[in-house]
Amino acid sequence: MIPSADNLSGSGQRHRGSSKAGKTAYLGLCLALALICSYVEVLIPFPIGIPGVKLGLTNVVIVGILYLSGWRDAAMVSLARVLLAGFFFGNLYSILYSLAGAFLSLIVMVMIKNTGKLHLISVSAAGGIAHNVGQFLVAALVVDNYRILYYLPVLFLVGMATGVLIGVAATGILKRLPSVIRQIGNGL
Amino acid sequence: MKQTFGRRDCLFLAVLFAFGIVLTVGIYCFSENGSAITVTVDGQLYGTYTLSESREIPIELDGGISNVIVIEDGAAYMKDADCPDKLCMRQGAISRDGQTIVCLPHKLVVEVIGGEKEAYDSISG
Repeated sequence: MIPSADNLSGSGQRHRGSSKAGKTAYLGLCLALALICSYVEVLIPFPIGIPGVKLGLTNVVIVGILYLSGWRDAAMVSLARVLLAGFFFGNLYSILYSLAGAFLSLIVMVMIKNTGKLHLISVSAAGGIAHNVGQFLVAALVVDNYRILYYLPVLFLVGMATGVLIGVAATGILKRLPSVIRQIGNGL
Repeated sequence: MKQTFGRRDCLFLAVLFAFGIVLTVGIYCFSENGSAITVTVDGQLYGTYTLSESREIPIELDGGISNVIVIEDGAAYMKDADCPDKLCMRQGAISRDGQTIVCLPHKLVVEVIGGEKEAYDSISG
């Protein structure tokens, strides 16, 4: 039997060793990517004019981490991303909205992914919806007026549409990621 | 990740989409043309204005004019705002019962209501 390239070079083994430095570098890389996405997103105006409606570009990174190395890493990067992006580009309130959106979205995505019956695109679509709904619930609490939930259907549909787009993008990226990076993600 | 999209995904997305449409249709069916707007700041009522006469309403907050609401042809829109993102100005004109314009930086909500009488009822309740 011919040994595979992985077994010969041992590179698979090496990447799978869970070194702390490797993990730190991996999470740092992900966080940097997520922050860049947050920044790019600020630059893209969304013409709908409802607070909280965004493309959700960061979710490409979060979904990617979720599939590469699990929900704990995704939650960590997500939290750090929300706090840093809030201080860089937003304010205290935008941190609040983002936190609610990011975490409701992550919880929903983890639950759907764990059923093992649906693919990344569905997971991402549900996450997009949950993100918008979570953000909007906090907005309703902050302005102390539940009637603004009038916008909920719009947010629901927009969240779904952006979620599908993000899911398609994330699927494509994960497919094309060099296997070395995927091994690092899997091994840590 | 051999397969990226299956029949179950299709079904799942279709159900979600249908739910979104039902939600949209439901809310629009239950809404009617409103007759007045209320302006609330941080949950406190700032004023109630009828939609039947055109006018310009400057909102004074913290000693300055923070927002300008305009009522025109039975609809209200935000003409000016001193917040950095101007999202409230992009939310367009509102005229149907329950529609709102929200300015989060000032915690300001403009909301269409069915009529002035109804507004007082909802305040006391």
